[in-house]
Amino acid sequence: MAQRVVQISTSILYLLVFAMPILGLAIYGGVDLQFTASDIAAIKFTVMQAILSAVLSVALAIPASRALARQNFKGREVLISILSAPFILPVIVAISGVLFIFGREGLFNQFLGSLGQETVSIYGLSGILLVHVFFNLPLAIRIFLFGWGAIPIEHHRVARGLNLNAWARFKIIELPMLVSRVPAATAIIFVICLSSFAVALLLGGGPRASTVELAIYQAFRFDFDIARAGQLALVQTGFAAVAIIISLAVMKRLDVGIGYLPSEPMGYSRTMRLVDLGMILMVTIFMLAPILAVIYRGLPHLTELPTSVWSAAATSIFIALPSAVLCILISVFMAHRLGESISILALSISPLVLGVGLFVIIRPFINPFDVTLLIVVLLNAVLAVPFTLRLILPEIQKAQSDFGRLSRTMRMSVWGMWAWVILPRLFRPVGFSFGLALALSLGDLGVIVLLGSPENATLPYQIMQLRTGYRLDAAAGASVLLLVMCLFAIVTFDGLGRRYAKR
Amino acid sequence: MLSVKNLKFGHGSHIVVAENTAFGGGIYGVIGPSGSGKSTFLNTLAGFHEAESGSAMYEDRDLLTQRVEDRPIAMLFQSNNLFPHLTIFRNVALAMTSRRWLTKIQQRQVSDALDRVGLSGFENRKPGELSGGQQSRAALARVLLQKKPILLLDEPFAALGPAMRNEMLDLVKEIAETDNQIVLLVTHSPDDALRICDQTIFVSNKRLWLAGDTKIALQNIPSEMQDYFG
Repeated sequence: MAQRVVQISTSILYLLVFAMPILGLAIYGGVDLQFTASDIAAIKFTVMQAILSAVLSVALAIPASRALARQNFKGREVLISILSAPFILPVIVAISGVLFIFGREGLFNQFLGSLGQETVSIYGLSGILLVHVFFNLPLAIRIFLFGWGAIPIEHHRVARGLNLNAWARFKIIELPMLVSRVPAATAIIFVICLSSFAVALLLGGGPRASTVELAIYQAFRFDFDIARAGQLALVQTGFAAVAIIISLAVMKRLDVGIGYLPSEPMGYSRTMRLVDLGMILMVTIFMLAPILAVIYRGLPHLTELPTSVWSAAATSIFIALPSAVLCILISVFMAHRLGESISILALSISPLVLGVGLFVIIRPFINPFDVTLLIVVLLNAVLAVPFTLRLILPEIQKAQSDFGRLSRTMRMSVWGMWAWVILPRLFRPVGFSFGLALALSLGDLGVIVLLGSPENATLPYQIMQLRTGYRLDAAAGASVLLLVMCLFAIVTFDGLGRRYAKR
Repeated sequence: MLSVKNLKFGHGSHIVVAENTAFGGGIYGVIGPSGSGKSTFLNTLAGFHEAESGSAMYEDRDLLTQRVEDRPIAMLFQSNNLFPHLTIFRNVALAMTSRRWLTKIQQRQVSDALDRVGLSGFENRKPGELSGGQQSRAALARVLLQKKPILLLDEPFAALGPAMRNEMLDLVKEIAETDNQIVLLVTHSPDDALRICDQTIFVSNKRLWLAGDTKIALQNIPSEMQDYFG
């Protein structure tokens, strides 16, 4: 009973963090929506780029994950883990990396130049798609890997025993899995790409590549037209509503992971193996090159970073620590199926919208710019919950199902149950979750762009400033610092969690 | 006649040495503790696991060098023998063709096979709508149509109740006798072995050997397997 009360009240509070700002926007801005031509263009562009990003990611992920699933080679598991790195990679670092490779003076254009070809610009749609695929390809690969892995090995064996040809094997064993997973994977990536502000901010812009979030940002930051920003935010919220409906509909089919990957030879031809390995190599290069480029470019400048970078790093840590603590508290208190569903809000609703909304509702009481960092702490915590909750919840459920009855026969109270049975078993997921929440918060480049200033700049914000000032070396150096901080956070707290985990 | 010569198989450091043996038509029970290598033995013959060394000759050809699909072997596993999204008819028909349309003769053959295992009228059901025993029957119907001289059964009936299991074993015996197949049946149950297996193979302590007539073999359990039988 007491447990229920805590879970439900936390869930309600969590819900309010999303509902209040949106309600505030609706009341303040009114629902009298009037769109200019550029607004319409932004809306269209937002939807179009999200569809393209999703389709491209899925189209690439299917052959890549299939190759990973059926070709057994040394280091396959390690490679799969490395391919998931973009999840904790700060957006700004990824974009810097992509620009070092594909930017105006990047390796790719140098290569084209040496062939006498015209260089290409990746600002605009192509750049946004490139970065979206970079970030979402690993997710899509994981979704499909789980699908391939869930196909019982016996089915492959039966099919071989029956001497089915390659097409029949595909049609009978693999196609049903794809049919059930492709829509879900496409939908979730579409949803993610509807609100990815930092990518549009850094690579988009102009009348031809402006998203709704970018329009909100411009209305707020440059015109300080809060009413207009509010109205656009409601449009973005409309997107979110669609996104939430889609997410709830497809959530069940989105189990992510490696699953069981067969290690026995599957009887595919030598040519197939070469094609598969080539595919894997290409994806690996695509995923690793930007990260390596940043490290290569930034490492030499790590020792000569401007003081502004170090103070920004301090600010980031100052924000990330309380944010991660808050995130874990919410996750544990909200660890329930209901909480899991509610946390989808955080995946769908744009942080920018929440930022503008919070600004509107607290402005009558306090100058929002005075509490920028508090807002950032709160939002970062709330936004990491869907990930940490999913790590923590299964452990709690397992502890309850394994020991719940036993504890009840001992007449253990809820508090006793938590203190003696559940919490001691949570060190591992909580350690990793804490590191994850820290890393996500450290790398965040959302609301801070809206409300930040040079005085309270976080590290990603500072890197963005350096980039706009064309101080690319310093930006690369600071990116390496950020990368190291994120990795350190995850490795340290995951390690601590494992070390103190009760077996 | 299937003759196993100098065969070694296994995982890592657990390499089982098989005694040179010739298997004629009939049913052989494969008995031994968990992890002793019973399933690996079957998987090695079927081609899902690579042997360390040795050969397994059937009609002057070494099975172990043949492609899985070309080996004269049909196999049933502990689970997942049927494709859950296909009808029983389609599951069984796959033994002959993966084409959408079957010839009149092929349709007839599928119906006959289903009839023989007592599943007439279940053609359009999905495996999920059938009982465990009926699913096993469907898998056996497919094996019938495969018309392979060697049948490997890796505890496919382990999940069934005693009555159902006996029924399936009797069906296997009937099929094996009619088609004069070589059947290797992995089982944990001496009763199963006594019911249908002419001879018994023991797998234990990294060794595999033919212990001879089932009744006699089970009366003279080697000392190293006393713990297993209890």
